[in-house]
Amino acid sequence: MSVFQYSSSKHGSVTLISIGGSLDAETAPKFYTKLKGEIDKGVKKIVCNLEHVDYIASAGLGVLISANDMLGKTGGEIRLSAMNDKIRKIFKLLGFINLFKIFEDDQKAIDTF
Amino acid sequence: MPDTLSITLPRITSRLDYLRETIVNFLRSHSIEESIISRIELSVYEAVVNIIEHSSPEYQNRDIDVQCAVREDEILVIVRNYGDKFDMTSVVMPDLELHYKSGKMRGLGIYFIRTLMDNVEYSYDDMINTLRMSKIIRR
Repeated sequence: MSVFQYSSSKHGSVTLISIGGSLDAETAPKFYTKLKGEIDKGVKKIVCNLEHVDYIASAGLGVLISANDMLGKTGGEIRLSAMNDKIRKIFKLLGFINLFKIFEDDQKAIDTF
Repeated sequence: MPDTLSITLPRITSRLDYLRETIVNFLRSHSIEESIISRIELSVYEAVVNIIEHSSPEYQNRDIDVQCAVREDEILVIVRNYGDKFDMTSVVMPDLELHYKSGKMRGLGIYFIRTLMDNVEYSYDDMINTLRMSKIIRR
């Protein structure tokens, strides 16, 4: 069974979400529910820290794409930060590296919002 | 060390960790590059998830067979499942940028497989869907 960890904290108008474990077909619905919950509460600026994500499948990427779309409709955005090498390589191979706004660390992603 | 690995799985997502782990360990035991292992791991995962999510409930009790073979110049993965014909290779490859802009949550599995593997072929015979995926390696 896939492991999925989620925590969030507020940094001014930005919500920092830290994810760990797998973002796959099994955990994607939980991830979606959590993100949707934040957006439904009125959050517009989200930084998603992927440092502890060890696996991402199309279902996990789909959640990020969908969340960015929902946020875009309210003038918001999702940014990704602290991606580890394995996940960065997957993003690069699949061509997602130039689609999402990706930052080296949380602070840079938060400060430039 | 065997050159071919065979795994039989039920059609449930909670067994996919086992599939991934077994494939990764098998390829590592053959000293395959980590970047190639990641490609195979993800492609096999997407192919099996696709079967689990799209196959008819009447075939729910039919297992999925996965075979992974390390050859001199390629890694060949064959995924077989009993059921109605479903040729995922016939699905139009999405334009990634348009897909991203549309905000669609699903429909990227085939994009992943075709992007990560060098060759993908499908056949259907006697109610068996067979997906053959290969990745060229240099050893």
